[in-house]
Amino acid sequence: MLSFMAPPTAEREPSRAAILPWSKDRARATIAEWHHNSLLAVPEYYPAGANIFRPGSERRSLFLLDQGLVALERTEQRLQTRSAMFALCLPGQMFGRSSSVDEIAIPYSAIALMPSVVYAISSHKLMNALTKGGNAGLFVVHQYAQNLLSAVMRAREVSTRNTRQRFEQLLLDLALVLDRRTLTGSIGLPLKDKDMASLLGISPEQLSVIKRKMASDNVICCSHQKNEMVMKSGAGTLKFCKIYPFRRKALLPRAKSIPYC
Amino acid sequence: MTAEHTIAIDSHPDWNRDDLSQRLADWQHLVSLLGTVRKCNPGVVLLGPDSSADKFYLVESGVIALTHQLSSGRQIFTALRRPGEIFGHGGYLLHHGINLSASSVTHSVVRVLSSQWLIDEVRRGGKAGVLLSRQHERDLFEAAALNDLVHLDAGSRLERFLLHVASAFKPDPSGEVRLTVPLTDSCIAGLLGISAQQFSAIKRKLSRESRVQHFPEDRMWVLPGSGAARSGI
Repeated sequence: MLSFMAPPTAEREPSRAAILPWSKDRARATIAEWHHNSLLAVPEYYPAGANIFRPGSERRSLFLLDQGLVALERTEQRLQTRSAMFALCLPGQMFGRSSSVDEIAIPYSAIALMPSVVYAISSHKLMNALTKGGNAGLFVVHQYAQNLLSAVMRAREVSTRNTRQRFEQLLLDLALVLDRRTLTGSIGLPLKDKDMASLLGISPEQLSVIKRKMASDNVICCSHQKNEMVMKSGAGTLKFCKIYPFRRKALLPRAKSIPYC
Repeated sequence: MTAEHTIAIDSHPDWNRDDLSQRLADWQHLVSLLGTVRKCNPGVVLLGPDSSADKFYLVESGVIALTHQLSSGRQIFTALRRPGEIFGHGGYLLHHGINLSASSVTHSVVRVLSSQWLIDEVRRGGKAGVLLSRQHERDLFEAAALNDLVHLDAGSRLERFLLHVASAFKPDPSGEVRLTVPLTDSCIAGLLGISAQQFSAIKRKLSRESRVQHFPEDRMWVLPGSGAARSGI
């Protein structure tokens, strides 16, 4: 049961926190600064569906997503049915856990939803930067704080925005990140309805109800025959189609290095 | 109370007293001669949306709740800060104003320090940047996996809240922890984002299952010590 019920209408946030929306340019600038500070290891390529790490994984590292889209997924021990995605990581954002921090097993897995390029952030270099200080040290602290603030703000949205608004925002965010278009020009969503419902913290049935309501309000138009969903938003008309480019891989794939591009 | 009904307090990741003690010692080593020490009773508001961002706080004892107030007046619980943890520095670091409120949950002692000192220390290199990053990473991890408001039901969140508060209290030899949380039920319900009625129902359920006991007249909560762990929250 969800106890943090979303209010029926959005409440205005009095927050003065300046969380800038994700943009490609900002993500590129952030990644370039990580490079500039020489804190990244070699890039690793993960095909769609690959696990970057699994729960309890020995591989303890902090990662920076360079290209693609990564989902964090957790399985509730008590309720196996709640195995669910709970967060997305966009390019320029960090995920995982550095080996320098308390030895608590990571209870979730990170999955590449589409072909992704990820940098492991070297713990040794990270620690060196912090110990030496200067602009590199301040940059690391700043990145942590920025990622944390974004994560907290996202968690807070559950209480401040209703589910329909969060669904619309999720689609808008995905439209910004996913630049691969199908032959018909649609944005390929590598997420099932079940995954999107899980990211929103609702059941797939509740998501169906929301979609029906949006369709009756002429905000979206779903064509199951064409596997398409067209959404009208402030950003224009967006056309989505669901793509399932992968089946979950059983084993951690061997990462291969590719040149940075 | 049966063993399978107990919360495994000392094996739970939230229950890491030694680590907190070490972090407090590390911070105190850095700031022992700096700032001012403030003692506060439960319920004292230390930081609000109108506070200046040029100060941050180190918790030396007690527990501080960080909350966010919406325009409707509804309060959203964000995090708890325990001894060895800092709060209030984000606004200065990221160049925006204060966007949270902080109030003491228990009798607490905090050290009020300059945010600019923190930035200067990080630039200078050494321990401050490492301590700050560790806390941020831990928070990031908890924001992702532990304080999961979407997938945890309110009962689990209440257990988690109590476990966090419990780290400021000493367990008795049997491992049981008795917490005096001098907050009203409606206040804790507000922190957890649920109604007072839901909170009462959850308390009854947890008590029935011997997961937590509550003695409202003393505002005391009892968390059983670990035995065979119930696979918990």
